Amino acid sequence: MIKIQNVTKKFGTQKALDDLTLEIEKGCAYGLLGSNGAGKSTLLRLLSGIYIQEGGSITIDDQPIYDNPQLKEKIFFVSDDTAQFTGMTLLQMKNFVKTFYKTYNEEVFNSLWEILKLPMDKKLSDFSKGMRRQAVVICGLSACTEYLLLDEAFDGLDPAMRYAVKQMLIDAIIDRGVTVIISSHNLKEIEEFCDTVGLIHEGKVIFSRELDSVKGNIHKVQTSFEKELGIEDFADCKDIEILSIKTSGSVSALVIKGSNEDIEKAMESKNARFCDIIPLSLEEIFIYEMKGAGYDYEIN
Amino acid sequence: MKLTDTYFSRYFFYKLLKHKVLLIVSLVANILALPLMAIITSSSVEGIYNILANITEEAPLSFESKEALANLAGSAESAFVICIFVFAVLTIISIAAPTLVMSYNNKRSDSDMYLSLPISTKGRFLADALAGFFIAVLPLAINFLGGFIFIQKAAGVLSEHFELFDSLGVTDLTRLCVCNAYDMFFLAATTGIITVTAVYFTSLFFTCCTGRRAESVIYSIATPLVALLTINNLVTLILNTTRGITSWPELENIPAHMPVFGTLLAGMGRFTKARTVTSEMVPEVLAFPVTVIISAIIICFLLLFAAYICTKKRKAENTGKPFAIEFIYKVIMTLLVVCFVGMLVVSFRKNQSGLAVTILILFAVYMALQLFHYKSIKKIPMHLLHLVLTSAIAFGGFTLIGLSEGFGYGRYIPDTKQVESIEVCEGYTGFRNDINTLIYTDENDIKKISELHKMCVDNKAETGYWFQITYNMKDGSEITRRYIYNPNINTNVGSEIKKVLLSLPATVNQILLNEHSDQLSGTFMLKEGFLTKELSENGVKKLAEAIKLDIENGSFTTGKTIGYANSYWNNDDGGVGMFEIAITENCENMIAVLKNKENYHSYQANQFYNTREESERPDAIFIAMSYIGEEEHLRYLRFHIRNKDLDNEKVKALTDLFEVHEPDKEKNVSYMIEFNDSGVLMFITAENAEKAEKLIKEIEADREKNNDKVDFAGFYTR
Repeated sequence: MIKIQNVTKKFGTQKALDDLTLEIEKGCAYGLLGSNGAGKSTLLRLLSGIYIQEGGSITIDDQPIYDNPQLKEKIFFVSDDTAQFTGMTLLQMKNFVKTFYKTYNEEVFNSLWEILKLPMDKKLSDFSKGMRRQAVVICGLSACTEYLLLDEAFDGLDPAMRYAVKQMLIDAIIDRGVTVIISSHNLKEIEEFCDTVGLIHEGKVIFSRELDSVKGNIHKVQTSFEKELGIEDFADCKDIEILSIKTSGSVSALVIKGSNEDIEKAMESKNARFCDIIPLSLEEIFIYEMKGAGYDYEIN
Repeated sequence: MKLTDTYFSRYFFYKLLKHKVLLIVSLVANILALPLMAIITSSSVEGIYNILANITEEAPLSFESKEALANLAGSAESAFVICIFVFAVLTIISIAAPTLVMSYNNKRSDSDMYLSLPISTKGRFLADALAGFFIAVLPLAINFLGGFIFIQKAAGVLSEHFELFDSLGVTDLTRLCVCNAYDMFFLAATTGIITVTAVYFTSLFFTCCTGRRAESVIYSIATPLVALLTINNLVTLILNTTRGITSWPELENIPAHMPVFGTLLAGMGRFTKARTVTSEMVPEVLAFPVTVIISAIIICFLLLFAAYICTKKRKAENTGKPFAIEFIYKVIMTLLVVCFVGMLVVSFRKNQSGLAVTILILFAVYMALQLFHYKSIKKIPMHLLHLVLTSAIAFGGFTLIGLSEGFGYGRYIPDTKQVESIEVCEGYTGFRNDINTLIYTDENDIKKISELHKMCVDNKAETGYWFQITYNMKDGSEITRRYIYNPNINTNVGSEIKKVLLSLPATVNQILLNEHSDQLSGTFMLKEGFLTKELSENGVKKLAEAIKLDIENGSFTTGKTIGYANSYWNNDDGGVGMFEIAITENCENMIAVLKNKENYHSYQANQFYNTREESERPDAIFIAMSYIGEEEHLRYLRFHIRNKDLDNEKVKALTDLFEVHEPDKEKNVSYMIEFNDSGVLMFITAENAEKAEKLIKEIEADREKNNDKVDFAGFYTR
């Protein structure tokens, strides 16, 4: 289990992570969401022991990660930097991983390689961005570590390859119980792949929950009131939180945090003529949550 | 457990394999450097031996043999030049190795790759430092051992043939390469190996504290240079501001202990010096000082330790920034300012012209570096504050150190109880030479001379005479100081030194009763020149007795100096030994001995030039001088031959009368020709002297007739 408690990380005077607390269960597929510069990559680098935090603690399986070689054997980090390993061929990269990770499994590598069929003796600098990403991911999976940290893993992959990589990761989780932490801007992939998601903004955690819980707690509601209502008119509805209201003619569209039952009760109390509750996509949740956190972006 | 089973060794071997090309280049370069030089030099020496063995049988040296000798010697010089070039390549490798092996310190993508590996910071640092060491430094052992094996072929040296090589027009470098193959090898090896090793550790340190490759390389080169200049400025300043101290070896030697450039300059300095000294002195000059080697080793260890601390302290996110440890950058900038201020203080202590321009340069260089580093103009006020404060503190520090004579160390007089012996050289009383010293071992003598030391410290002056004292301490160390004092300002100092030194039996014993005392001579200063008398064996004994009597009478410390008693000899190390004692007009006993014809076997008169210009006239070939006649009846001949006179038949005939040989002291009248620039002495027999005088008279008459009068030509009689 990964425990991040009150972690602060500064780059100069700028705080990349600010008193961040997060727990990630072992064996889960964790999706790390956040705007650009939110601190996702920083968090992954802290988890892989590349960075050291200025405050707080990070433990994996109850051990601090920084400068802990025994623990690092359990973690493989795939950076978002596509320049990584560019001086090597896939064969050299495979040998690199084989040299440093005792858990490396040649069979796993071969089986994954069979799927992707990447050139073994060509330098990664001659690969496309997507091919480079595939190469690093199959090496990371072949390391057979307990934790796999992937920064923007699906970036640059075509749909077929995205599917293939996703499938490989799912197999790893099912077969070996590997904990995958993946940061991505591609929320659709996260939605399809992860069972738990966390949203970070300006170095703080906005939420970190199971995906179903996240999705079950925020809804889009289409309704019609007798008169036009604003967010302040719902101040008496303590069980829900209105994130936005947009009215067009007699029809209003609301984004509400709360359970279906609480939303229905609230609508009844405001004499709604009808009430259609529609679940939000993760992308929509992301945007509304970010807006709530002050990330000013207007959604139509 | 196999070695490769540990992460450390896996990582180490992986890095070696990754940089195998650099390792191979390093190995090849090391095989080429000293071994190649040694092979060529040893075969040259062997070839030269063979030729020299033949010439003893078939003398004189044939043209072919001369040419073959010159060629062989020339190839040794080429080998030395190749060796220097290859060492330059090795220096580049030693700069590159740490930056490549620790690429995660200057490349962000490598930082993610290597810092997430399951190896501790300490293990990674040591494995990388070791891998770099294997690539850049360890092959130096092959370099040295290979060279050492091959140089042994050049068994023995040809130093006795130094002069032969000179006559063949062989350059000094080749002469050293061939004649002192061993010494040259060890000097080249020590200088080269220390330089390459120190460069490696310097580069290692800067790779660990910088975040970019460019900064690592630039500061690896620039910082040791700035550090050396700062130390050198400090040393120069202390010597310049410490009035009256002209020699302070411990201080002057500090810059040589500063690798990389100090070591390099120390090696090059020895090499340059060796080119100008006699063959006997070459081995001593070429020997690299042990303290410099020890200092280099200590500094390398300190750099390694500092590099480790930087590795522990640096943060991965600073990779890609100019400096990962900003503190080091600040130290370097401070050092730069201190260096500049040192230069300002040293250069403009007495002459302020150009001061403003230099300050402006400091300001421009400093601000340009700061702006380049921070890429922001917001911090300009902070930079200015740092510049002004650092300059002020540095200026204050330099001034304080200078004025306090190195915090009082310039006035330091050792405790006489710890002194084994004292060596003294002195300029005023007549013990004026740089080579020989008077040595005192008696406890009371040491105390008395220590008092003289104190007097010199208290009466230092900008100009005057010098007094050099060297303490050989009981712990084996050596303390040397040379002071300037002015006997005209502090009249008691000169007379006190003279009185004390001459009152010590050890002084007289060393001057008069040494193994060279049979060569004692006396010189009287005359109006137009000086007269030197070579004393006979009996004369030396009489003069020694006379000196003792005059010392007892105190005659040496009063009255005007009218001459010197001196002893010259050739030292075993090839230098010229000399002791000289001033004769005053009150030294009646000495004057009586020197005036008595029976006490000397030969004499020689030399003339003073009237002016410096006279002695350096560019058109003059030589001025002939002679002494003819009895003592006190000197006859000087000054004859000036110009370039245009060389075609004159009579002048040719005149010059043909002179030969280069030792004059017969008993019979011949010695005419001496002194070439203006070369100082070559030529002598003439009595018979030819008469002919020469006739010819000179004829030439003078011709010149008169042709209205071609020459200054200084003619005879002077006294």
